[in-house]
Amino acid sequence: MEATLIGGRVAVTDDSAHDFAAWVEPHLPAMTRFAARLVSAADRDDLVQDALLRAWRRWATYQAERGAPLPWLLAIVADQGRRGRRRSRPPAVSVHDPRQHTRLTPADLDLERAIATLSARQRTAVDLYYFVDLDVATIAAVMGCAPGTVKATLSQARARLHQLLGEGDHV
Amino acid sequence: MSDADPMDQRLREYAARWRDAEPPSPAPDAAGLGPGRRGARTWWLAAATAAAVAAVILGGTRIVGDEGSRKPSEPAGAARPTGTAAPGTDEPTASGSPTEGSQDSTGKADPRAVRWAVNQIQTFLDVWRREGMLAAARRYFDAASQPRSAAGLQRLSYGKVLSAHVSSWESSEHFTLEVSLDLHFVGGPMAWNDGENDRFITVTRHGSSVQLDFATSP
Repeated sequence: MEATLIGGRVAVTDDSAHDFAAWVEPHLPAMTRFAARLVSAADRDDLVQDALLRAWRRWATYQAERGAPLPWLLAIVADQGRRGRRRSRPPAVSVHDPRQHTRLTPADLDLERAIATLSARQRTAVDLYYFVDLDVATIAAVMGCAPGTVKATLSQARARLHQLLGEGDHV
Repeated sequence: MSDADPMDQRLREYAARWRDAEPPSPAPDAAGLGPGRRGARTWWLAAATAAAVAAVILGGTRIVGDEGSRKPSEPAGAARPTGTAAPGTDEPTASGSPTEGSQDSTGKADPRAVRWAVNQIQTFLDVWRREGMLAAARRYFDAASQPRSAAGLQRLSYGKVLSAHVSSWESSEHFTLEVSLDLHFVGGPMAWNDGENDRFITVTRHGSSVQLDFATSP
């Protein structure tokens, strides 16, 4: 594809696709983990690919000075995951998926089932903090709230999990 | 978060095992753009290249076509959603019918309550645009979701409800809508898109007041 420039806003060349691939690659593990938390194992890679395609289409509108790439990309993963669930709503966890649970214990599965009952906000915070392994500031950027709200949401989620799993009187 | 929290430790340990069990990421391969080298793992790059052509054409059309007709608050080149607003009207579509894949419980939805909620969501957007997120949050969010200050909050320049569909339904006082919003921002959109945004909004009515809970998933 030859280089094109319209209104100083959009430039598309073969090089830009390569640039995009290089730009997005450091963030792929986080995108993939988040995708795995949103859809079944079988649909994970499709969700990542859909998110990459959408991110590419919108890349011209991304402005680095307005925020880091990772929250922007994860928000796209979340959005694509939601669109995918409209077509089919697979369980977040399938106990029949041997690939997903090869090294997980029955207690892990109990915990996963309890996580699945959390509110959407709590589950997103738990997924991003523990499973995607992000810091609170990045999660706040993804969720569009203050870091303190993320911490409070995580605390509420853990308290709820304690309740659900019957593990004492943790507050 | 806290070393003294056993659930925190349990989650950390489980999440570590979960990450270890996850297959590697589907890495993009820019070399796959070369002739005859487009494999299954790089299909998106080929599709992206084609999409980019359309993006360029669309971008150019909007820049030319919007001269003099664009809303003052609407950014140039902003993507406009299609197929969600009712034809020939600015009114959002609101449906009490279940969306594809939604729960059977949505069949009990009260269309009047849905319309009322859509009006409330639009009012929330109006308050956000006119007075800021802090003021909007105080009116519509629960205590746990209140931002502590206006610092770092997104500034909305345009906000409109495009469509709403019932995602889950408990009663006329408590239900969740899958809502499509057209949002544009002054500054960075952060977790939002500049343009169409889909959110699950749980509506809880307390008499004449309402509490809104935004989420990116059901």
